[in-house]
Amino acid sequence: MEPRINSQKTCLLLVVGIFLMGVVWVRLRLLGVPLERDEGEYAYMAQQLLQGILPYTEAHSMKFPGIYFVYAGILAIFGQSPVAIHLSLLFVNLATVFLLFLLGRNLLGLSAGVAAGVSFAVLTLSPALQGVWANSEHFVLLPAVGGILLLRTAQDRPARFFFSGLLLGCALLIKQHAIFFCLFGIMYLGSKVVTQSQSFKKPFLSCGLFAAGGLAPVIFIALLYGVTGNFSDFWFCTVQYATEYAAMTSPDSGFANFKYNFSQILESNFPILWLSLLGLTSVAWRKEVGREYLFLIGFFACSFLAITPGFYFRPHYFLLWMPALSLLAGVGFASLVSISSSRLKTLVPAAILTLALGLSVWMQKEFFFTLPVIKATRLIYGLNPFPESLEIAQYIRDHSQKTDKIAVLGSEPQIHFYSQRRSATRHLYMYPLMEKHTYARQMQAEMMQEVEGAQPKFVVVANLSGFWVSPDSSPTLKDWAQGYLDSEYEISGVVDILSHEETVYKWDERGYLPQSRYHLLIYKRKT
Amino acid sequence: MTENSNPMRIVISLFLVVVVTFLGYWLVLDERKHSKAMAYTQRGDALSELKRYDEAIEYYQQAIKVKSNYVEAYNNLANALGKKGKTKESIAYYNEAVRLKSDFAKAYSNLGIALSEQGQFEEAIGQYQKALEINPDLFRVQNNLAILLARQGDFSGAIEHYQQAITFYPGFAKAHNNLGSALAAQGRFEEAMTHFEKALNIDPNYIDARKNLELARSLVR
Repeated sequence: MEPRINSQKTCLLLVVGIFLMGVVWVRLRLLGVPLERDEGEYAYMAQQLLQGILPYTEAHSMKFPGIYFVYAGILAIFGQSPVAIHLSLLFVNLATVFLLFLLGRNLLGLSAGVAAGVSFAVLTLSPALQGVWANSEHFVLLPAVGGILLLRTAQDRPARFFFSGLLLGCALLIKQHAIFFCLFGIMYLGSKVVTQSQSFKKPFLSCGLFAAGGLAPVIFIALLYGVTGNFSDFWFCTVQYATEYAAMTSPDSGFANFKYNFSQILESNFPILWLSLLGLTSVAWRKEVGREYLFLIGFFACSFLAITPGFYFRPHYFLLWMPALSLLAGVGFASLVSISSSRLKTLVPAAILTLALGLSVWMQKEFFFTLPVIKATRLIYGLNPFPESLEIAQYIRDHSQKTDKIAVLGSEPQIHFYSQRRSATRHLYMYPLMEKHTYARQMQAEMMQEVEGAQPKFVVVANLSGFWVSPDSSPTLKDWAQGYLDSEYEISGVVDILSHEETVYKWDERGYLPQSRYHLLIYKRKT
Repeated sequence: MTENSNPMRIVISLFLVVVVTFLGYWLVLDERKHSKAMAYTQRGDALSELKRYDEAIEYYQQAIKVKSNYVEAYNNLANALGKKGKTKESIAYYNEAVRLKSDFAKAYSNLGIALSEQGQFEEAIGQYQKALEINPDLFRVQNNLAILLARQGDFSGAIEHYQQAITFYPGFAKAHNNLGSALAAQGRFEEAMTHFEKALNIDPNYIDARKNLELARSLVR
């Protein structure tokens, strides 16, 4: 018996090793993808943080500040470049893979853990989830999975309850959506206390420590903003505006968003997700899985809730669902192995895993193995000016002083980060100004006033096929921009994104008329 | 099978797996159709922008063929038909668009414009009102509705909608001028002059507003 188990393990670990190495290779190959706009925002705010400027004081954002602190750490340790940011993502992703392996092993044994970990590694690499970009969800998952693992293994060790809460609190501080992981922790802990399935000597102490750990980061941040006198900015951005933002999409549109983005994830990862489905149903027919139904179903449901706020269902939001789906894939895998004939037990697990992961990888092979970084970016983000931002920033840096400010009329904060020039306005994104909510007009007025007051050296106008000026939105801002720029600025650069392959750059040349509906105009202040 | 498995539970689980798998398959297929319809519509839009309406119409029809409930294609097809002067056909497609999507404000607004062009003012007013029920910030629709109300002699209603248009977009010179005219029609010349002046401040070359201002001034004197 012993040699068969050993050879089964060897086969399985070999398969896992190959896929993990493949994942690392793909991430290393795509380290240089240009920052997309969320990454640009995090990086710019982190850059400011490293200069002692707290988030929300000079730039608006509705996200909790944890991600900026994380990015500040990344920039300080690895350097201020897309490669550095994506390298740190590789480490964070691998650490989450390891924690998920531990969680899976703790739940249902080694094979479930191994399959959960490697499924997570492959799923979170998927272009349908924008997995190679360092979105905040990746950084939420590490503490969230860590916190849940600690909670499961806490038994009667008080420190683990505290640190479990602390990690979940940190996850919440990175992105509000993580509230549902905290909720899962509370529900799981509550169920353990109520059903007494875990022998708690001091249930109140355990729960108290968990709550104290969870609240500690939130209280710390509230105090930080309170003491520095910036609490109202923090509150407005992360609670008042965020609440408006979350209420803007109707359930109908939400369903359409979900359907559109989930179908793409499903299409390219269906073998792994089919294992997840099998894992979910095996709760009903495998006793050892059934014993963990509360954990598995609860984690699955709460993780799903974590992707729902606002009904936007953006591709990277789905990353928050992946640990639960990967765990279930691990369970499904273990269930399939358990019903396979004992004579084939050496090869069957490795074959199932190879097939599930291999098919997923094969369906995304072009993105993973062939496309150069710029084309890979274009495939996901179309004609968004992410590659162009590097050259625009370079021009601005070469033609301005470090103390000069710039403004971007669009939503391209990565230009601020690359150029290392401060924004003339707190509004790094135009979306909130053009959306339909209570604060839109106030924000527009603020932006106009701030830009006029700061007299930025450069103003970048991103004309991306009516990106920020839709026919339904008030043209007030557009009228103002037109008048202000005509009187005080002159065009010093045109970036014309003609196709996925071709962009025309015209610097300090007069008379060039952009051909494409996707172009950026760089205005320089008249001397 | 494992020793602890219950046959009934296994059957139910298998059934669930099959159902969800088919659901997933349908989801992917439907989204593929959606993407194809969207691509056809976008191509049609690009051609419409170049004023190549015949070709655009073909693309919109292809989009509808691929996905019969793709409402954007109906709306944009109706727009293109309207540009070709086929207003009756365009009205039929707008009607289809709002039948498929009852909160499609843009289609109601377009339908209002088409009906208005056909001289069906009552019906046009109804469609504009539906559009504004869905989205009151459609300042151009507010202006269009007000024009029709004023035409019917309902100056109070017209003034209300002009005011809503300029509240949302204070730089809307046309709405200021129209509001001035509606106020003047009610004999409120002082207020009318303020709005003619505002229209002129926004667009100093606005000849109608200048003429209206001069007329209002002469009447006040």
